[in-house]
Amino acid sequence: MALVTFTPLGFYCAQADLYIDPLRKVSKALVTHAHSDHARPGMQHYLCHTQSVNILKLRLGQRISVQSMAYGESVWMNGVEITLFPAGHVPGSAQVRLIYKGEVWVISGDYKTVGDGLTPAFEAVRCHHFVTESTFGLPIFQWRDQQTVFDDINAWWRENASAGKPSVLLGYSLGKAQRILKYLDRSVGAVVCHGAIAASNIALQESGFDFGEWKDASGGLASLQDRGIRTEESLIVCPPNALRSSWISPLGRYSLANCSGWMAVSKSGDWGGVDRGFVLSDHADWPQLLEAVLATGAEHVHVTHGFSEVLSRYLRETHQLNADVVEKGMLEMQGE
Amino acid sequence: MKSMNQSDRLNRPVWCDAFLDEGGNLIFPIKVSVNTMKGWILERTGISAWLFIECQRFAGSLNEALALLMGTSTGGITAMVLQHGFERWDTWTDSERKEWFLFLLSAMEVEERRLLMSLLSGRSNATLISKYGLGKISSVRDLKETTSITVNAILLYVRPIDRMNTQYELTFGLYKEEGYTSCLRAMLGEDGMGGWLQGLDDEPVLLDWITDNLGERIGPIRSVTVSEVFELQCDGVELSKRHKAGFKAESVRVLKWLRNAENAIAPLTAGNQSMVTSLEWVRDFLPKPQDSGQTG
Ligand SMILES: [Zn+2]
Ligand SMILES: [Zn+2]
Repeated sequence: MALVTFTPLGFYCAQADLYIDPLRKVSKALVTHAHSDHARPGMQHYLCHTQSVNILKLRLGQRISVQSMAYGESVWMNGVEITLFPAGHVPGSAQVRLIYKGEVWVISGDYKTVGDGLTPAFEAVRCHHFVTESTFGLPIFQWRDQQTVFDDINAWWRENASAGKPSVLLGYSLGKAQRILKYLDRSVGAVVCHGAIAASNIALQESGFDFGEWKDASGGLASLQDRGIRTEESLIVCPPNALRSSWISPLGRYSLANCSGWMAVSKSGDWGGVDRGFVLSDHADWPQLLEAVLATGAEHVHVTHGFSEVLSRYLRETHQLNADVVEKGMLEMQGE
Repeated sequence: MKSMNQSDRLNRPVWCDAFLDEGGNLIFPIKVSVNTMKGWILERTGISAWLFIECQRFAGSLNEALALLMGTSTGGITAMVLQHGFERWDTWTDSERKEWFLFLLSAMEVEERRLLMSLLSGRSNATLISKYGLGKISSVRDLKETTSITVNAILLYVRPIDRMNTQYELTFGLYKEEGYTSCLRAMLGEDGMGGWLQGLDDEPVLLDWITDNLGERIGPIRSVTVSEVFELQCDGVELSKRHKAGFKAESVRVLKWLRNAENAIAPLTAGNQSMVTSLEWVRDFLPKPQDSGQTG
């Protein structure tokens, strides 16, 4: 039997009795990063990277049982050597390498290979079996250099500020928000964060990440004026659902932008009715996916999370790899 | 229709200025067929036919897929480079034409490529200009007057996007003569980046509900138990003869899952049958083409 199997509960290493990013409640769960589709509640024990602990507790509760590891550090479970490597996706994200009797697997979780200056950069790890995501697994996805995107964001902000209009930028509270915060030009105005993002910021700062100065708007936007912050020159970072609450209403008129890889395609640009779409993703684009897969030297590639059919077929046809779709295995297992 | 001068946007490609007539419309002196351009781009990028189909399916249009496939811009495009090609076009061989075209495209930003290809293929440029303002993607909202409505609609079908059941495209129906007519679509589920596509508080519960209530398979879609009603915000709504329901919406956002629907207050019901908004109400509400103040 293979060292790692694809079960209805998620990736499973029977020899170590360990699940990776399980979908349902299990006893031992190794979590590659704290995003909600990877770190789910209810596990008896969690194992994750040291810099994921705070944010995991923030999201899943302070009382979870969690053990942590640094990158490059190994633990053994029933003869299986387990090591974490940087995935470059979001702060605290890791790839997992499992070695048993010479068989090497790497489950990369979500990743990007181009460094963002905030999260430790992705490291290619040699293995026999590589599990890769494929969120942006189509050749139409090719990211521009992040600095050009941040230049665009800062220019948009500056333009709004000079017109006396607040700038509202949508971003998820873990990863995207902090990556943006790090590169904002504070000479334009104040950087303000919604409560949900503020909470993540604090957890990540305590884990040692630095992304510059920001103002906490947990107490509401109205309170900013009292604190001497001019909202019309501010850039306000908030999660999408804040737009539908009364939280946003003190702003009046504002310019709205979204920051996501999906913004590359204009039909998604229209989805949220935003004024501007900035193409910025914490996932690998097509060239990065290919680069990552080939760098591992793996003969077996298991593709999940997105355009898995497309990427696996391409790897089979163009690179003669044994590539398959993980979810297929999981479904077959369910059928048994 | 917006002319070039009206949509005087900051990010308008400079090269466009060289091809404006007095009315602000673009004039393009040469034509290249879409198939030729496609052939050139696929050859350059080494993309196979099946892979291109996947790209086009996701991008939504041929133009967009081709523009994106060319990757990130190398920069430095000027009106002079274009002029150069226009002047020599008739004397060039096919491969010289191809080189010029691919050089231009690599240098341009994605939005510019879409525009250039649309102009070269001789398709009407009005839609493109009004939609993209010749620059970055911008909101539909600030480019044209649109109607927004809020309706109560019932969930009829779902289309699973991935095998893990983390994303669905939902099809909703409105009430019509003792039944429901499917007419509105929205995405739901995990966005793959740790968030949720609609950002509803109960989106995870709804996702589980759908997975537990999948019915028969009809091609790529699945029916679901017809019981759940949602408050939807539909933007960019207009009457349309080409749509079965008689209208179309550019974007649909799920505002609220009206759980325990029988208890919910339904302001827009059709008879006592249903708390679901009727199709008739929507059609009556929408401005008719003659009073929308459209100009040529
Ligand atoms: Zn993920
Ligand atoms: Zn993630």
